Amino acid sequence: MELTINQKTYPIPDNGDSRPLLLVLRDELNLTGTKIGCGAGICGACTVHIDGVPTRSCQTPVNSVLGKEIRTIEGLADADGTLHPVQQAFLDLQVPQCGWCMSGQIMTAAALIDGNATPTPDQIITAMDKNYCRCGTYHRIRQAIAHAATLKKEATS
Amino acid sequence: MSNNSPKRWRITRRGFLIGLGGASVLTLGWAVGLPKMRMAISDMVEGTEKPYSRGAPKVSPTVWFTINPDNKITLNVQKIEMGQGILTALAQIAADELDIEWERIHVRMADTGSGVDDANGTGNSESVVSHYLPLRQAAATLIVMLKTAAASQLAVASDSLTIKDATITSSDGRSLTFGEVVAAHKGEWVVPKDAPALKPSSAFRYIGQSQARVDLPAKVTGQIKYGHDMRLPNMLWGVVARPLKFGATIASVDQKDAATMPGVRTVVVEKGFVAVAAETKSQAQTALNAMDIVWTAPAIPITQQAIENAVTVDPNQGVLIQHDGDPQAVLHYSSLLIGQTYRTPMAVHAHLEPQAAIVDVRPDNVEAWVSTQVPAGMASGIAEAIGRKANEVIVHPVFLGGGFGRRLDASLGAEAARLSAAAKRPVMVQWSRAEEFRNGFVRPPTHHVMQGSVNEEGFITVIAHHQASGDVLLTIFPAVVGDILGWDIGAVRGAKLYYTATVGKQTVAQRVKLPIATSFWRGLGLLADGFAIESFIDELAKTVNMDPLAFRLKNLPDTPFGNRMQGVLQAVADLAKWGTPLPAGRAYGIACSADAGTCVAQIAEVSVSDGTINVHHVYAAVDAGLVINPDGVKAQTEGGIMMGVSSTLIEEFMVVDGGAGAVNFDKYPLLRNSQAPDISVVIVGGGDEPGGMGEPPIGPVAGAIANAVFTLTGQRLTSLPLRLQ
Repeated sequence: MELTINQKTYPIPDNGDSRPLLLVLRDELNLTGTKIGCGAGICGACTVHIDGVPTRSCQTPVNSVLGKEIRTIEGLADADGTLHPVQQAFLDLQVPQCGWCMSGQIMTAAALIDGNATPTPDQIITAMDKNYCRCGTYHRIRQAIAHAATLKKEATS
Repeated sequence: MSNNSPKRWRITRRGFLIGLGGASVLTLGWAVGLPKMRMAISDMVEGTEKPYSRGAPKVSPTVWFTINPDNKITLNVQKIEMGQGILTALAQIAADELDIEWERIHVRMADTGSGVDDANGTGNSESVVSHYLPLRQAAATLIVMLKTAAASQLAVASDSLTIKDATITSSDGRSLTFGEVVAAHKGEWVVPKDAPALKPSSAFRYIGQSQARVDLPAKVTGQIKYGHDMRLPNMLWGVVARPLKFGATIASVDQKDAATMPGVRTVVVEKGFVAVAAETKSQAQTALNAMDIVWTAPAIPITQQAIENAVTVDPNQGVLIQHDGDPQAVLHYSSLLIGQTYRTPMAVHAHLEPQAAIVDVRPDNVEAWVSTQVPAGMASGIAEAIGRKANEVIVHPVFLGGGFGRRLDASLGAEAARLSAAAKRPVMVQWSRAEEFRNGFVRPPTHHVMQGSVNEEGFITVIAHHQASGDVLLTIFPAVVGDILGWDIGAVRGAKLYYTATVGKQTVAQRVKLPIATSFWRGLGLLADGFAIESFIDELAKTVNMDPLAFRLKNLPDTPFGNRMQGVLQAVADLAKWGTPLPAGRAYGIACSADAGTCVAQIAEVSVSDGTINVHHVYAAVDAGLVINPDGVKAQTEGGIMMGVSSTLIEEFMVVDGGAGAVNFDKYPLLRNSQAPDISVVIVGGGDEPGGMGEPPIGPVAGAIANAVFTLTGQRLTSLPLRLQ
């Protein structure tokens, strides 16, 4: 079996099971940028992109994503190291505290920005409402996503 | 990982010159001393204004700074970065006193073998407070030593040298970098006996500036490694049998064929400890599941009702921990006396990174990577569990995905250590979310009786607070300590009354021993005590129809402390425009509290819709004395407020059927983005001493929200989480 992650191919053992993508990423491929929080699809820490769609990797059987484009936080920046506008915005506004939820927050926000260049405050809250942050950076997350939209607009204009 | 570890420095307790391979590296510093237990107990006895603050680190030689020949300067600290920005703040202090470029300073979390022994761990809002002066003194001393060495190397008088940006220049124009001085130095380094003069605050380059956090670039790219992310070559995965019910113990174990199941390398069955290590986590779990483990229930059933009954104020119990005036007069004062009771529930920490530990037990030494706030305590715990000496165990600090007090528990590493000792390979033990809920410790429940009265001029005449709480600090001490002291100084954090009373005031602490583990949680008693006291202050104000802000300003003492409290109240009132009309359906509530040398006041803007309390905005004013990183202070204020809002509106940990009433976030939800208020923070005050910031902002939140709900609805809600009637 093979997975395509961040445009690279990773062979993985075919155990004939439907183990969660999250555990394959973290425990088999050592791609630990994607985090585990609840293992039940509630907290959002494990969010990755499957064909561009933000997806809970702890609830995603690995055999359901064969042949699909998987993107994790490790592959969000450009190959030359240029950060995605959401990553840059999270740095500019000094959003992360402990940072554990941030891969999930950033992947969720990146999918929003990539699909909607000018999200409204309500759209931002709706998109981000299922990503827990125990350190309480919610207020900065909202500001940073609005800022990311501005960064993206500047970069493309 | 261990195979790639650099050769360990040889630390000598007397000297300062440390060799690393062929290169010369200078390290210098002061350690935090005194055995943890003795210090904590002595501080418990003496603790008053700053509960069990340990003050400045004790001076004894070890390592804080490393200077490489390429002039890279590294600050080694045994404070743990768990989101509070401590690495950045300490780097700011050090870089300022060294007077070097910001890019030149690096900061790393030192392992327990490095000599930067910090028995206190990271907590109690004290990292900046305790390190501010000693770190500056160490840096200033380092400069003197480098200057002396450079003078010798350049054959000039020391006082003719000038220093800028880690380069020492003589009056004839020759210069040496710090790294060159260290590399060329021969013989022992001599540490001056007296600490040199520190630079004046007017010359600060970094202190007081919002420096960008050093750990954030790696946090937005997924590169940073937390405890749960650590992997070692040849590592096994361990799982541990844990009870589903509180107080259950292992009665009998039938291993069945667990030891021969696929991938299984070790099965450990010892008194009270049953665990498996295997090549994969699922293999280990499958083998553990195959075993037949019988648990015995506690003799007395543990129920939610029994816990609440136990944690209920009894006027005949408790220890008087504060009194001003005649306590009897307070108790028997009857004129206009009002009373109210308040209750707060248990809560979990819900650090989003489940805790994890890798331990590699080898014949020569033991290395561990553990998600902990207390590396030194963890080293002792591991050593004890496997019968090794503490100095044989090196605990490597890792970044933490939240701490909040949960990771002050030093028992975590022992499990992986016992498995590794048996398997003779490194073993990783990761807790699941369900284990975190079932088998961790929780914030103790509290119950409060407040009584007081106000005269016609609006002055508080008497006020009394009687608090009953489960243990916090006593949980980690031998039972005899609690029996001697009779009260828990952690549980009463924030319980003492800071308002003036013309006749008298008193606070009574009633310790309640509970059958489930309760202990540290951000702010300890601060959230509960702030809720009780600040709700009651509004009730007192109402008896004389006074504005809650004016009532607070009037009844705070005219002392430096009282003036700081008045300062933050006035500042937050200005920020929120207290007194100006709000949109229909909105109301403000105000509250304040003090903790760890920091004063905080908050105003919550609240509405009610469909029986739900909505918190739209929280305004905060913070006086943390000398501020190192203003944006860091704001971030900690925001974080404390959000955690407080979550507790105020949502969180309640219950015992159900003798076990955890929730094992995941479906039944124990946390505050979500759509429920999270906007936050505005203003920093006021100043001075020469920093205050703590990790916990103080959680103090006023619940009271501010409850007071707003009262203004809006007329309902005085006295239990957390707040639920409209």
